[in-house]
Amino acid sequence: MRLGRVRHNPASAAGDMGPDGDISVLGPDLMIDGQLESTGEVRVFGCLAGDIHAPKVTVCPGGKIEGNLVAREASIGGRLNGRIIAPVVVVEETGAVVGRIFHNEVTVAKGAFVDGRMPWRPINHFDKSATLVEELTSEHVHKK
Amino acid sequence: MSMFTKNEQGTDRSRNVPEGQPAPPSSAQQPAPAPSGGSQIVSVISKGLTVTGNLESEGAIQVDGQIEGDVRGQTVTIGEGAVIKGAVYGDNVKVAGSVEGKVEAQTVSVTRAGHLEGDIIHERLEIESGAHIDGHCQPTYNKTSSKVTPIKAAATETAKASSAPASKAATAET
Repeated sequence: MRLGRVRHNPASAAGDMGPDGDISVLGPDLMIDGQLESTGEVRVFGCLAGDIHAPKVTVCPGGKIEGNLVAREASIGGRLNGRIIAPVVVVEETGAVVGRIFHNEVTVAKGAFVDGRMPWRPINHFDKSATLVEELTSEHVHKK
Repeated sequence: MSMFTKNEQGTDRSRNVPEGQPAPPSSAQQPAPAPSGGSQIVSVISKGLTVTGNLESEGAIQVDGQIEGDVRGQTVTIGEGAVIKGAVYGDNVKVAGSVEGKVEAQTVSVTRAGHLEGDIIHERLEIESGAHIDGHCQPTYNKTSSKVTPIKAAATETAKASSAPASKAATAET
């Protein structure tokens, strides 16, 4: 039974129950061409060409997303080309983000690469799905 | 480590990350290989995950969620509760869930919880009593045909298309 085991390896947590459901792991040699929607955490070590909607997304070193990321919590340690829409965003030292980061709380580690605007949004903004759709498609600056 | 020797990974880091960028932090942060001795992490599509699109891996894929699209891997395990609407390709495919589409693999194993609506193209086939099979079972698996990887080409091209113009800009700046 995996739940009782001590884990040092984030990848081996795959299939375990997180607070929102099972954890999915996209291994380093996995390539996905399409959209992902999850009720549980997703850890990306591979390549995703498409959007991802999940409560928590971790792009691990070596991982890459070409698309938008919508989550409650985003941690970027790999590459992401697209928009991030999450109340809590962390860009790790190994992270490289090209695109806007819509956030309520953002952390960018020293050495991280970020190329894009980082528009702040109030926390309730992330709860409305209508505004999320607008963020994903809007090109203009959101007026206050 | 497979994640650092991929060609596209090497090109991307040199483009986007400025010169002098230290190597990724200590190996402790990187995932260790699975203890089973395999050099690859098993990709797991958990129960709550729905993928609308194709998946492809050179390693093992465990599917417990929903996939609308094809799955291509070396060892593909479709767990109970998984629903795949598309084809499944691999060297070794185990079906314990629902597949609406063909399965093409060298070794195909359908458990009694498996529900397969589609053809089974195989070299070796095992079906447990109780499995639901509705399709043509053909022992005509040809190993060379499964090596075609159109999905990987599409994903790599997306990466190269976006990196090519940027790399020119980067070299112009530096």
